[in-house]
Amino acid sequence: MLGACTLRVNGSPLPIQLIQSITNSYGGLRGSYGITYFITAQLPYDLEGPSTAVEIEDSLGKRNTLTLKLKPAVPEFKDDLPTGPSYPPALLRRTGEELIVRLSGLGQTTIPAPWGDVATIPIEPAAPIEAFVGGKKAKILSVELSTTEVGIFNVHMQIPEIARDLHTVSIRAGGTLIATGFVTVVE
Amino acid sequence: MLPAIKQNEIQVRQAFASKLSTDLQTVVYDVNFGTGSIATGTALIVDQAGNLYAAGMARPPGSQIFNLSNGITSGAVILARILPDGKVDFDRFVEFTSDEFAYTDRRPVGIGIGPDSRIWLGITGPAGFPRNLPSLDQVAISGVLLRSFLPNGDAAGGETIVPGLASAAFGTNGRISVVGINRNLPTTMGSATVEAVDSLSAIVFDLNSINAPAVIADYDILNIDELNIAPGFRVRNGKQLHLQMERAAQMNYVAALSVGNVFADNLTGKLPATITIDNKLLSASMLTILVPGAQGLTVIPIQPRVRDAYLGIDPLEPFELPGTSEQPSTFRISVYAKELDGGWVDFNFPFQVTSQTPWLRLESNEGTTPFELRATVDPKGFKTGIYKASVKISIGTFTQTQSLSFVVGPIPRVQPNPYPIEVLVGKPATHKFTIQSSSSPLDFELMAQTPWLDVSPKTGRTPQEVTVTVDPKSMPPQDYLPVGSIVIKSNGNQTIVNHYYLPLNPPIVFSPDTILQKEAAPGSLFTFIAAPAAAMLQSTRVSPGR
Repeated sequence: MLGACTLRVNGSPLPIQLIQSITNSYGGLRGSYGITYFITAQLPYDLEGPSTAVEIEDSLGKRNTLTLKLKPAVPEFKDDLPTGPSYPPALLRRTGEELIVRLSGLGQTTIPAPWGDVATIPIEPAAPIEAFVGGKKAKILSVELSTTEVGIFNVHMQIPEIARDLHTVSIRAGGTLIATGFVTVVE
Repeated sequence: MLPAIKQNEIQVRQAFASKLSTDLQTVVYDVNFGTGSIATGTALIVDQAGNLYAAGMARPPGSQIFNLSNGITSGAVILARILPDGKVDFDRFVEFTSDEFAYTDRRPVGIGIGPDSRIWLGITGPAGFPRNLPSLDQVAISGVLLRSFLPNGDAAGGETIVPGLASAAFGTNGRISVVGINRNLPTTMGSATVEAVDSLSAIVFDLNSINAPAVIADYDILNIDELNIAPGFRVRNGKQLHLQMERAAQMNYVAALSVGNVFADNLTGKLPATITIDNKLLSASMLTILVPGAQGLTVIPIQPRVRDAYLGIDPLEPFELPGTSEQPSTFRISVYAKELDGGWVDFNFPFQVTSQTPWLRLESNEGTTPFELRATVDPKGFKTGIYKASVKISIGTFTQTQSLSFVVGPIPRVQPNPYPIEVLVGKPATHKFTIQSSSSPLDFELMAQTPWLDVSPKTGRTPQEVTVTVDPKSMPPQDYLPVGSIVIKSNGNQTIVNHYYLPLNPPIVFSPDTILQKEAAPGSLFTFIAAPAAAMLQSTRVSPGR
């Protein structure tokens, strides 16, 4: 239904995915409905410079140009870690156990990564990655580009020795710190 | 008269204390303490000589405010003594540094003056979030840390940690106490204790009655007959009492009692309260507090009620018996009591259940929810059709009757289940569904009841795929889901199948205003909206080549 929709950077079409969202104002089948399309695109891994222009051509042939500011890393949380306390605790880990957080926006990689496709070999981000659980530094076991999801990095960390309680999980990439959710550390 | 220390919102946030005359008409003194800091008063006490000891949360001058980038914070409490004439005798900062719970403030919740004139501070983290943490660094929000000071305000070196879920402290002349819950609770809540420190007499916070067999009566599942706090307990003006219990080996809270702000030192009144028992959220509308004396009170709650709990029997779908000549059939029935809101909590209550219908026989008549039991139905003598049986279930004094439907003989079924079907405005569309029988094959007739629908074939025998043709030109305006109805006549019965349609209005037009992201890194996924509507979802995946 997107027809001739195209996104380009430096003349190259970007890989995109369309998600259709149906909004219901009242709930139930007989509510008032609206349609929204969410389009996700992936920038090339080898972009350089302070910004990049994304040209968007919609199905009517109308063109817009979006300017995105480029940074070494703009980590974005892509997982389903609980975003707050819940009952029962949604994510339980013991000290020493592994926790995986999915992120995008970790920037360039140490070796060329497939654009618009999944990785078939271990590919690490060039930006240094740090993880914190409850403010305590967590050991990074690995950070690799996903082999099943385009543009997603799996950050494998080890729960540090910390009190048994609900803790914030934070990740710092390329100088940017983001809170990614909560984990409950149990006995 | 001792009003609570209040926060001065003007200019700097500085704690201050005021003394009013007994007729409340004259300000005897009104002084700030913790000069240069950002402070909030949270506790106070007066000794027998009329000196006011006040404490609060504070940021000392020059202290580092919490910094997210390096995870370091410094929090402090302030302790001050104010003489009867209003002169600030001393004010001292007590600093804490932690790289772990950097988001928190340290909150003095009680001051006590010991027999040796030492000053004791009871300090917790943010009210309402007591935690079960073991170490000193964590005690700021995990329990209550007691520190003692000499009469001149110097640190006396005394320090006591009340770990666990201690969350409130209060002091009187001669003692300071911490209200908390012993960490070594049994897995079933038996009793809670109040830790008493220093020279305090023991205080027992008796919650045994909570563990009594629960009674359901019109959705009452918990009756607390008595909840006593011994004399000596005091809830300060403007403070919160927050008590929690925890199941020892799990992180789930077992019980929590939270009392809202208390608005007078000496009061007889009602306070809002919430009680959580074993992850079952109950709401208690009011909590009555009686104050027998100036320094003590008794808490006598309450009639908490289950919020959105329900008692049910599954399956709710009709039981099916293949035919009238079949042998008796046995079905499984699940009896449960659940929290409706969220639905993930199962209540465990003993119940009794009896059949109210002669042809429905239950294998057992009691159990504990959730429970699965067997029911047997003999269809001999029944004609094809739907029959209802009723079951009476009791938990405590609460009784509920629920019906169960049994279908004898085949009935038509439609697959897939009707779901909003997208159609383009102005363009005819078709979709298919299959009519099946619940048991032996069925002959059927079809008839479209909606003008803009047609169905083919008009007759058939199960299983049969059916094609529906939709003409969206005649659909109602697209501000709601148009519904199209098809009647299935079979076996003397009539079934209506409703399909909902979602008219779409292409083409899609981008708007630069819908960009959700202004900056990105190489390889980033970025998302924007194509259509003028509110955001609902965001993609997290990119498919190559699209």
